[in-house]
Amino acid sequence: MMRRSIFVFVVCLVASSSPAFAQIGESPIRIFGYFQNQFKQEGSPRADRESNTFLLQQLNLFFQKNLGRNWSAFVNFEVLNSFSTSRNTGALNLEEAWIRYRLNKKLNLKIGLQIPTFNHLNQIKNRTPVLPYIIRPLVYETSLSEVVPVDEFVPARAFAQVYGILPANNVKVDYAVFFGNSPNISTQDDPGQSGVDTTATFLIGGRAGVRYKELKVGLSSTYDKASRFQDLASTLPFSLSALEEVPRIRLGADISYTFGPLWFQGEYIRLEYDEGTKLVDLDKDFLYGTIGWRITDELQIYGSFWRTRVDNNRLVGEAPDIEIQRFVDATNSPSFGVAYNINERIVLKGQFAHFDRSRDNPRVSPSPGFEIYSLAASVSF
Amino acid sequence: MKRLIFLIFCISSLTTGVAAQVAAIAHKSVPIESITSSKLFEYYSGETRLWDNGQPVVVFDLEPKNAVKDAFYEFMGKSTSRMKSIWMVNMLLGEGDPPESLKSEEEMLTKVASTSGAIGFVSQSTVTEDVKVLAVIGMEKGKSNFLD
Repeated sequence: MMRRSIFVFVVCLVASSSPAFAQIGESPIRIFGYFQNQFKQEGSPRADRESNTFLLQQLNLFFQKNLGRNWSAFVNFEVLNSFSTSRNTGALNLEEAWIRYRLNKKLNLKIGLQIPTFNHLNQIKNRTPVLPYIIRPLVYETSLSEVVPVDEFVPARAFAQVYGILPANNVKVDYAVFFGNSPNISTQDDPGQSGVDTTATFLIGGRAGVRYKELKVGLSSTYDKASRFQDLASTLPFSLSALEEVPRIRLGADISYTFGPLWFQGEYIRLEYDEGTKLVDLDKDFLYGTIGWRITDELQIYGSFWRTRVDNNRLVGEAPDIEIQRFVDATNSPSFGVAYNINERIVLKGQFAHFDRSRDNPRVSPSPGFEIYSLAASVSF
Repeated sequence: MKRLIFLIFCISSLTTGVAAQVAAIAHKSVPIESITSSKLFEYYSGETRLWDNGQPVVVFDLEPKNAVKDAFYEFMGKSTSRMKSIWMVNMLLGEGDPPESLKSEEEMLTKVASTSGAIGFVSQSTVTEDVKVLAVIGMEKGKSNFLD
């Protein structure tokens, strides 16, 4: 009898739920997304190593629903590198799940898991159909996140953001201020609940930009504290408490300009750590510049240059005679590519990138450079 | 020979004189009588989504790529491919949907006339009294004029 009552209650609830939520301005849920399949030939002339790979580089699935005139909800699942649990490859991420309140163009509030506004590319770095790249400027290349610390250079996640556009004569000022966690999030390997910020600090950041016709410039910044150097601190023969929570400032500058069929985009990112000691250096820099030419509405070509500069520290010897070797790891990457829109939904891409790596300490052996030739098809659905 | 040159001159003058124009049109409920290129871009890019009276802005696009469409977006300082790129970015960021693409100018006229808060564009020669004309755009690059 009890079971029957519960069943009837649930049936009634489900039956009545649709009209109850169908408020004015609501729309049906929309499911859409895109994927990018890639063929990549990677080679290292000096190391005599070569690999050919077919890869589902990325697949994103979006769910969107307008919840009345001013409210909308958005969910973004991301699958990387031919994700498979049985083959133990790739990654599956819940990248975004937010709700937005839009008062007008001057004031929007977005609450929930989201990718914050930082420089030009951060928010759209994963939207492959609108990017001509296969291999994105290095710190934005999410599919390389297993080997490049992409989350270190740019803020990957935030949980609240206020943003908008303020018109001022012919110029438009856009702004964004966001809050989130510090990067010290507990994982399943840690005791207790995973996904919890292990510090009492926040990520706080923002971007202020100016648009005039086709020219956009902006400055971005974040502040948080990183504890990812605890491993380094624990291997030292002496206590280095300064590395437990290192204050970190990201500074960014971006510019983009379109002049007829020509376009230019450039960014600079500086990671400044307050290490509290002269024994180690953790700062990093990244810059890129891309010049493109839209030959027709469908076809464009581009040339791009990326440079990363990382202050690195290596421990040599055994305790108590451990020596910290400091060196600068630099990677210069010229890249060229072409993108062709077969139609509004399908983009074919080709790209060549050369990675030249150098270290300024002769006692540290340099990593060999390598080249990547890549073909891809980006499809939105 | 002189007659031939004179004939070519006359024909070219005639052609210029009857240059086609594009009309930015709107539903009669829309609370404005004229529009600038920057305002038009704000509505078409999704920056502004409500008219001053609180009515939602509904924008329409033409599916076939033709001179009318090119001139309309050129008036806003954008190419058709640039506009598509802006709509695609907005859609993928969850900031808004691209405008509905209509198959012909006739359909555009019908849709704009029957949709409250709608805005669109057609050749000026096809405009009917069922819609409001907000701007008349010359088809030659850089030429445009407004109706008061």
